[in-house]
Amino acid sequence: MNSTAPVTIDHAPPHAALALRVEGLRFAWPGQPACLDVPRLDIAAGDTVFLHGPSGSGKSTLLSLLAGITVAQAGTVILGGQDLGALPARRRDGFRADHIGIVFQQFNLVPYLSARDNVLLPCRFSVLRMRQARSSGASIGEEAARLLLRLGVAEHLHERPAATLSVGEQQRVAAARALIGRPTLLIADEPTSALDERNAHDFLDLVLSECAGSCALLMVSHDLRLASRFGRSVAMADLNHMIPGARQ
Amino acid sequence: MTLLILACKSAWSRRGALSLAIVSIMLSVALLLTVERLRHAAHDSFAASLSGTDLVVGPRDHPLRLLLHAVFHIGTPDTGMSWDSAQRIAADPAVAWTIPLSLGDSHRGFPVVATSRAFFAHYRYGRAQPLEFAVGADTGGLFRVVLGAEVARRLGYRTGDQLALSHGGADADHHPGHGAEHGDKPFTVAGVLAPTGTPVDRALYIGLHAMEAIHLDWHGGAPIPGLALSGADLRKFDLEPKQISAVMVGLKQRAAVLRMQRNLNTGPGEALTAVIPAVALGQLWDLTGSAERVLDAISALVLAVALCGLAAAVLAGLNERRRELAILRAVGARPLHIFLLLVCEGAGLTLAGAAGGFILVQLAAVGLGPWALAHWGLAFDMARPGVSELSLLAAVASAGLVASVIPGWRAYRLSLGDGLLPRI
Amino acid sequence: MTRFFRSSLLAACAALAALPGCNRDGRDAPGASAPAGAPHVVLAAAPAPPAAPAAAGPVQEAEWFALQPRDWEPARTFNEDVERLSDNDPRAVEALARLREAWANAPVEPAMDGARIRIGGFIIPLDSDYGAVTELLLVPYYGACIHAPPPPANQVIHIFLREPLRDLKMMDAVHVIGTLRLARNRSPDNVAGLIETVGYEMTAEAVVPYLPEAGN
Repeated sequence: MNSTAPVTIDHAPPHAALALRVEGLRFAWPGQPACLDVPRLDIAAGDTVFLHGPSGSGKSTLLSLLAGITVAQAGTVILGGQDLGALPARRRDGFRADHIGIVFQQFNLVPYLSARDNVLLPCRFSVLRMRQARSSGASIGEEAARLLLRLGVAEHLHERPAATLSVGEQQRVAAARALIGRPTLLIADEPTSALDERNAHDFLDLVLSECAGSCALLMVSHDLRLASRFGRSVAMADLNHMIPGARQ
Repeated sequence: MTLLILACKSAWSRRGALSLAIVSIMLSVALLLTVERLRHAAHDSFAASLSGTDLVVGPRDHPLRLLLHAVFHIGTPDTGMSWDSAQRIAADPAVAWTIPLSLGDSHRGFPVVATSRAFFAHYRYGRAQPLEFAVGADTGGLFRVVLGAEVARRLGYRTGDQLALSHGGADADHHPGHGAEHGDKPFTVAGVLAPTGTPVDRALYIGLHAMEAIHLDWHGGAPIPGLALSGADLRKFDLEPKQISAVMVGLKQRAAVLRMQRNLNTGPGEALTAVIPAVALGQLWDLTGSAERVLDAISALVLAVALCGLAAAVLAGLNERRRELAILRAVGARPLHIFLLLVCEGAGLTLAGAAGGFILVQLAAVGLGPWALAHWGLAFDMARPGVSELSLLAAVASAGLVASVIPGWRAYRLSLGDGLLPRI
Repeated sequence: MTRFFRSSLLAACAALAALPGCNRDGRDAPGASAPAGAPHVVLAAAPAPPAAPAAAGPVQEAEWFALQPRDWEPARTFNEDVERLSDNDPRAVEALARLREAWANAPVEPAMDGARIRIGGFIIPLDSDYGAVTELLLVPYYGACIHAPPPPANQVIHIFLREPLRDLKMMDAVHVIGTLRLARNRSPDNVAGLIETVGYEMTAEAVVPYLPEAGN
């Protein structure tokens, strides 16, 4: 559906280092017609991008492609200077571990691990993230605690099993997990949709301030009220040329 | 390491559903180990019944039958060997000692063995252990009987008690012979042997002359009517036996046993069979081997069933774990990691079940071992698990690993298909 | 994550490698070790010299005929062409009896006393310690005491095992390493000063399954 608020498609400032560049991306699920056709999407390092669109516009598919879970039939996804399509499957998974943090709408956490262990998961799967988490001189455990506190998760909750936390607390823990070790790109897929308004605003504030300058942030949401906090706002309808009625 | 910890914590969080599967593995491993141990205990008990004896000689018969009858008091042969042959063997310059044996009577279900005093001097069992008396001694005398440890314990006899023998054989434990009793010639208990864990415990020992004496006024298995000989009368008769069941032989030079055996088997005169006990026992195990293998196969099948149960339990829980697996993929786990996670979990659970089964068997051995020894004569050896048992446990863990490949593969395919967002 | 791969693969390989070593029939006697894959339980050679008379010199490969004195030929006692007689001929029977007598009293080769040898043969178990063989006879050919006549007294070795072995069965083919001794008649009624030697004895250092290519 077309929104009434003004939307713009920005081109990335030519001088900034690119966290993500997508060119000529075309994708179809096996046995189905093409659902995604993205001619261009650039995200510079430190950018915050708000991506909005209705369900069925191909958001989840695009996120899968950006995360390297699936590979497009045509076009390139260059993340942190590396063409994802050129990597073999297992290297892609490792690359994702090294460079991307992901926050889902809900069920972000492994329920039987503590909040702290959840936050530390990326460090277990990526040596690069672990090293970067340690770069401030602290152990990864201390870094995890710092991030949790920064994101508003009280200390007495750190060792609790993730399943016992409230939804709001879980989302903050998920954000901390996505942020630990300073990944190149943080992808958030409707992270506030399950939160009430107050929690949603608090969450966004914390994430944006923690991201500032170090990670690029790409957030997908249908809640346009949040768009103003972001550096850029992109509509799926404009991005994905497979959507009927998209502007060329 | 991470995946190992993840697998542990994940399994622990689902312990309710998995506990039954683990218990069934525990029980099946306990069954496997118990079958092994009982089999070894039975083998060892048999082997330990006789030590230091070079040959057992008896009438022409299957070597195994002869051994089973002479040493284990099992079965009744058709004939005996002549006393003359036994004496000739004893006189052979290569022979160090002989123990003549005559079986036939029983007492309340236990076999009576007529033998000479050489029995208590030369019989060895286990690690060349001689027989010892717990109470009393072999005092000689015509109507004296020495009891095996279990006979005394079960029937409550002590030295000085009197008992009467029954004519005819008896099933060792439960069925007393139905023959008539030698009631007019009671025997006095002269001593009780210390427990040995061998068939010696379950027999009564009288002198060869006594065996002759109680049968003097019998003919064809029943007392001759009208003829009753008193104890005093008997001593006037010649009480040398005419026939005995078998004779155990010890040689001065053990290496001569082959030659001696050959001479006895093929020599002129009475048709005899000479058996090397260790060799005959080996033949016994060849016979029982196929039955033992069937037991093993059944135990292995039970374990296979338990492992299938485990795989099924893990598979059933996979659906609820798809989100958990998607999260792991999101933080960088590869589908292969997911596969290994599941396989680790299955193998770990199997190992835990196997260890539990092993502990169960050890506890049972400690708790029930002495009872098994007393009642069945089985030494349930608990002290040394042995390399073969440990490698058996390792084999069980490997089998668990293989069984876990099924849920692992399923999880692998699921995570490949689900990607970041499982379509549940 | 490669760390995990390595440790998990190692664990899996170790578990699977234990499978062939899983020896269902042979529990180890104390002190013995079982290399994985061996069809029979093998007693590893004692690492230190035995407490018994110290093994002298290196191990020689021995053939059975070395245990017979060079000049011993029992068949020389026959003055007829025995082979031409039928089995029932009384002369054949008598010749056979004389041969048996010669074999029973076969002399030993004194030079073999104290020789540290390795010799292959078939075993006849004699005694066991709760199922683990402690004494056995080693004979040169298969079937001795079953269908073939017993070997001469100088072709039988009475072997004592320092550590009992569980897996030895009748007629197993093995190599035995140890120091040969001349067995003396231990009869108590020997006239003092007269010791008859009647055969060979050995306390085995090692017993290994017979492998055709090993040791030729």
